[in-house]
Amino acid sequence: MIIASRTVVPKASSRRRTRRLLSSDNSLPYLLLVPALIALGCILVVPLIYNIWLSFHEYNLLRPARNTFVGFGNYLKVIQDPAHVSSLFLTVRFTAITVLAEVILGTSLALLLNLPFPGNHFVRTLVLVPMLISEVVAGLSWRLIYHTEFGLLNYLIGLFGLSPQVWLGPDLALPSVMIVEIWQHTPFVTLIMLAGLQTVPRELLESSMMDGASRWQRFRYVVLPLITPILLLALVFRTMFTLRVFAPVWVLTGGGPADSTLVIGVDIYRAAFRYYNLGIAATLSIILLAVTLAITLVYMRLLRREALT
Amino acid sequence: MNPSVVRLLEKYLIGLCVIAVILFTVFPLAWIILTSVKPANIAVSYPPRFFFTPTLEHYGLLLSGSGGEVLGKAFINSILTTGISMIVTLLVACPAAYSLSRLKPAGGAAIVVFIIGVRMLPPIVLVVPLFRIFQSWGITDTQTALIIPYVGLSVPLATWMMIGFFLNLPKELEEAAMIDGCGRIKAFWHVILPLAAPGLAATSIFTGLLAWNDLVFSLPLTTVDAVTLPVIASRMRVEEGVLWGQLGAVSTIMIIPVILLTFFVQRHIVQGIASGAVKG
Repeated sequence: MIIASRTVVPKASSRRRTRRLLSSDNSLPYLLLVPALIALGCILVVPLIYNIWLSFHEYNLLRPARNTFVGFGNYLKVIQDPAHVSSLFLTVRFTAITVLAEVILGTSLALLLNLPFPGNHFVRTLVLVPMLISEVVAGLSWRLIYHTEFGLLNYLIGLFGLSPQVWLGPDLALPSVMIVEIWQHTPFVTLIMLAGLQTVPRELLESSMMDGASRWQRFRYVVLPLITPILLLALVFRTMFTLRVFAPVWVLTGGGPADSTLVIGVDIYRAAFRYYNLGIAATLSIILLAVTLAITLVYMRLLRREALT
Repeated sequence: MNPSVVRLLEKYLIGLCVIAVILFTVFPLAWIILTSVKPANIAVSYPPRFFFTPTLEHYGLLLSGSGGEVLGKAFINSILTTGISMIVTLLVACPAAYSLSRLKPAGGAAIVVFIIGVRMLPPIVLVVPLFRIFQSWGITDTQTALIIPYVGLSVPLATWMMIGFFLNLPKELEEAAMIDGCGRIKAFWHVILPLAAPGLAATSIFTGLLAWNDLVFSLPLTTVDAVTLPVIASRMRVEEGVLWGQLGAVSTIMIIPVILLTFFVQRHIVQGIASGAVKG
């Protein structure tokens, strides 16, 4: 009897424990979240607040004695300085053109890779490579191609009888940098659009084919409406990431020549680590954040409308 | 026209497009890798040379002497910061993702929104404040100064991706394990984590790539001791044309692991981007 009751008691308690664990009304869920919340708080939120604080101060590492509160003084200084204003507009233009090109090329490429052909799987993997390698390496590879004296590009256009160009000179630097950006990030759009194309039901395409719709009509009226939400999503991500572009521009031109490729990312870096003007650098980065948020919110609204219709 | 002729033409057209895409994608990288094995006298010759006897002299130059020391150190720094950031990120993100996807604590939805929201933060916004903070702690130019921002930036994406992977696992499995006497933690460790291995792989790849490729933090936060490969590559002065061979060698060292990774774990990468980006 004693032995029997002993074996029964632990069973009952373990069942109770299991039920308690399954109902999970203890503190475990919160304990598991603590490390992540601490990491995000300390590494992202605190520096962000510090950055906002810096943007309201004159803060120059070369003149530490004069670090004072200036209210919106730095913001006024930035919008009155043609160099910063033009870097802001340049960034928006750079983003608009490259993202548009990436979306058009990326979608076309996805449609191409969605067709069956031998080696399809291999090619799908191969086109991913640019987006996974370092932006520094991408920039350097293209700088070698763009080189005025021994670059491959000048050699190639020479074969067609064209005279050599200074690809990273004042006239062509901006489009040349844009091409590198497009080359590196079109695969991202392709990948997302390929995933999106998988969601288009086959029956829908087949029935529209039976109804005699041409290839273009099938794309325009069947595929495109279905993949528009995903297209918008690719657009959000690429816009968000292009607005902050830094490394490829830094490696290819450093923002020059004559500021012709000075995007805001390079402008911030320069203000902080060449002129040691942390107040201005902080202000510029808050402006970048504000622009990013504004554009993302507009897209989100579009996405929601898209989801409703 | 005869329909079969049209189909044949279409086939050739598709083939041509695919070849053009491959060339445009691969050529810039192939070219810099090729430059790294060209003898010094023809590395920057004009017209460009496509055929030559390959040599490893640029790698030898990089790995010997003072230049070699710098590169060797950068290589070790890159591996260390990447590896440690990956491990710490997973240790922080997995429990959080498990809690948010399975235990559904009150307020969890708000935390998920917060996690998605902070992904909009441009990393460069953090550079100036972190630079000042690390200066006051005296840890600029250390690996720690790089690992901290890499973990901070990776945790939101890693948590988001792992939530997706955990949600895809059948709930019955862990419940069965718990009824068999496993605790929550034990069930998580022995049942959930092994099943989520592909997700872990995808998440580590993205965390690792962020650290391995980064220039935004490594350029301003390191000077001598903690420099990583991207910093070395971006600093090389190459206008004179002398160093292109060595620069090609550094680039190759940075590209090869990524290309190998791409082909070995391609499915995980695709899955990762699909869950990390397409779902939001």
